[in-house]
Amino acid sequence: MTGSPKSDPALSGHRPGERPGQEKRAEPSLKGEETVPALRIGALSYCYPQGRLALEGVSFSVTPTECIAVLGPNGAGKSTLLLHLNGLLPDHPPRQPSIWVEGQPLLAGTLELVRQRVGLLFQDPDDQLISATVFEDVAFGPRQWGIAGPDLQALVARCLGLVGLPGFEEREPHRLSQGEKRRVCLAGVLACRPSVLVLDEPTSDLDPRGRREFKALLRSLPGAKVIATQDLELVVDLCSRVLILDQGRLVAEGPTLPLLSNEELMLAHGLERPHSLLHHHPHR
Amino acid sequence: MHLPGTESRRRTLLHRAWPRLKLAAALVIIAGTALLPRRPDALYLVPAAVLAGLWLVCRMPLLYTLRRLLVAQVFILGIAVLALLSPAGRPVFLATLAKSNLCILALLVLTWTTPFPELLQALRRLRLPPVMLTTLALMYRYLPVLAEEARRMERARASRTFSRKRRSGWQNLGAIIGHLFVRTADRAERIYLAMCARGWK
Amino acid sequence: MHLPDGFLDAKTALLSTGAAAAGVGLALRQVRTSLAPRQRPMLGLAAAFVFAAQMLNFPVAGGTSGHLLGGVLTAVLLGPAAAVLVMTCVLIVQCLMFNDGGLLALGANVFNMAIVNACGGYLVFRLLKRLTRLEKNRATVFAAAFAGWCGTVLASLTCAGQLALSHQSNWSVAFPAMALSHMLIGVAEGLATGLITLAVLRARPQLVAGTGGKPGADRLGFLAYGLVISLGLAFFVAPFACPWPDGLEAVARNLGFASKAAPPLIKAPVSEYRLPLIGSATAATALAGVIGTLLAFAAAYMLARLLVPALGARKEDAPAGN
Repeated sequence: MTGSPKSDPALSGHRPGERPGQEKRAEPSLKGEETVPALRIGALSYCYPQGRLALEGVSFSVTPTECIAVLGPNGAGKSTLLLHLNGLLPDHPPRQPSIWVEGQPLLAGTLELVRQRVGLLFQDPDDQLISATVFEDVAFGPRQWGIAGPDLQALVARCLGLVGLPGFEEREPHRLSQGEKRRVCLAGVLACRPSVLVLDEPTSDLDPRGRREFKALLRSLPGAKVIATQDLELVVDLCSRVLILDQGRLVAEGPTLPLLSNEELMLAHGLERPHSLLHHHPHR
Repeated sequence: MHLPGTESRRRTLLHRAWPRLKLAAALVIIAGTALLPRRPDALYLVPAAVLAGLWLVCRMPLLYTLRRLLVAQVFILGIAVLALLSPAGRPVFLATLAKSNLCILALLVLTWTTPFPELLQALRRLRLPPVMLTTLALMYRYLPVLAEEARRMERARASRTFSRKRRSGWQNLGAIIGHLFVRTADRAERIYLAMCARGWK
Repeated sequence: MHLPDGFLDAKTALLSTGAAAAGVGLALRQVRTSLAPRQRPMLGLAAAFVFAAQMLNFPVAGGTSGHLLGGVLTAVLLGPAAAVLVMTCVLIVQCLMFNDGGLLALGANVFNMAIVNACGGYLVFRLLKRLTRLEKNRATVFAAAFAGWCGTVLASLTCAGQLALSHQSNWSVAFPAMALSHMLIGVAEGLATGLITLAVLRARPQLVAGTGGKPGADRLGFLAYGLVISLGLAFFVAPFACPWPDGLEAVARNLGFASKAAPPLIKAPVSEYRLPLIGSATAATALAGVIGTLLAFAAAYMLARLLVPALGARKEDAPAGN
């Protein structure tokens, strides 16, 4: 990997939604002042149109540098929660915000800003890779924000380099492997220069090598990350904190190892202790 | 499913030419050929010579060309034969056969030298309505995905189908295509969300 | 029914391209005003769906197989405006990528298959649904099946008209050939349309358009599409369906189109196009058309009665969250 998004000169400069000169944002302070969380969710609730309760009173926050996992059985509401983080749900932005991104409340007026700050990677890369070529797809996001010409080409090239796919611009999506498609999707999300990465089951259909490579890739990216996953080994490797969701409610929250080692808790919510903790073999 | 791929093509002069130019040239050649007189005529040699030259430059394999032309004959003959049944039919029939095949050759050269994404770019520059451009682009992108889904569903059904009655075959196919539509609609919804997530309005 | 290049003459190509442009322009306008952004990606996906559906083979008698055309199906599922756009894009890709249908003939093919077939079929669908006394789901399947047949036959008529207008073939040859063959093809198309509509109704009934919608906007759309289709029929079919074919021949001779009579290569089964009792081949075809329509109507009705349960669909499941 050549460089990280934040330190990369080609990616610095004013971001979409900002006017030039607004680049400085709250940096983590060394003097012990309170840092603005990258994400704060306060008592989020959501009902499906059919009336079924999907999320109930979910509250948590994410600091600008941590990587947290969202676990839970199928039907717990993980994907629904993730769609809220980007403002895709609910259909109409709420009057009272339940979500704050870098201190900004998620309301109708800030929707565009939030969409750019929170990068969402969908579960099925075929749903996100919509263009005829890799270049067009990675360029899709920046184009919406008005970037064009040689700047756009440089940005796309940088993002493809970051995900380990340099020179893939002219490739066609349907000829890529599953792992490559996922990485192109990630490049497309990174091209929007988000502050928070939200990933929905990022390793679900990858083979073991693809999984290892993707894990290494995620580890190399700084910034806040929220990962909804069933891959418990991924959680042990990458995430410092874990949230457990069950039937729309946040039932547990805490540091990874103690929580995942709690066999009773894991089994009670449709999960299990990861093998690496059972056998005391930390995989790196 | 055979989607004309791009990587295996040989890079010739025609491959590198501007897509808009190629599209316009194809139109001109086809229009010129179609408007030739309705009986075999020496004028036919003009487009024939031009196309033969272009075919040689673009290095289309002979077998590929013959195969595509053969498939096209089915449609051409099917309609051209109607001319045979009319009085004064034979010259019209032969003329149509010749003209049609020349036009198909022109289209073949166009598609051989211009991958579809480039044609889309040309259509975008020619100010085709944005709705149609998006539709064409998404269609091209998702055709292999849906084709694979359809194939998978067909295989799954076939593995559970024991009767060979035509009626159950049709009902099965109807069910497969119906379910494919439902899955397509769901996928379209997810694609909409993914596009919005990256700033689409 | 894809017309390759080289069959239509200049005036017919221009006329049909103009008619196609009118219809597509209409559809674009309707889509721009009434299609929510949420539905936009569905246009592209639906086009891919039509293509994918066309690749599945329906077994037909004797080892041959056919495939769905899908114009009326798309209109039943998405509405006429979306169907026009979807089918136009399908035709463009078929022409540019698979050489199925000519480039210059694209206008005629779009008119025949995207407008006459899809919209004409859709008009029949809505009309039938309104007129029938069947229960809702049965009515939908019945109307879809019959509309699929009608759309195919209507499109073949305008296609025959275009061939005749271009002097590619006589109307008295093109009309029977196209109409009769497509009355048969239409059976498969109608059946497939009905079965697929049924499957969608069972799985996700709200996906079938034409079940609801604003009546005011609908009416305007009806009129507009009806107008375009009527114009097409006027240009391409009416000149030949009029009872003075001899007059037309005279005109053609005066304008120098008809050539010296050379004997046809294949002796037509009816050498002077007159049958005992029935009269000309054209009249015979028209009669066959009437009989065919009644038969298709009855078949579609039986299909709906037999396959669709009297009461509505099963309880649908709520979408599973994650």
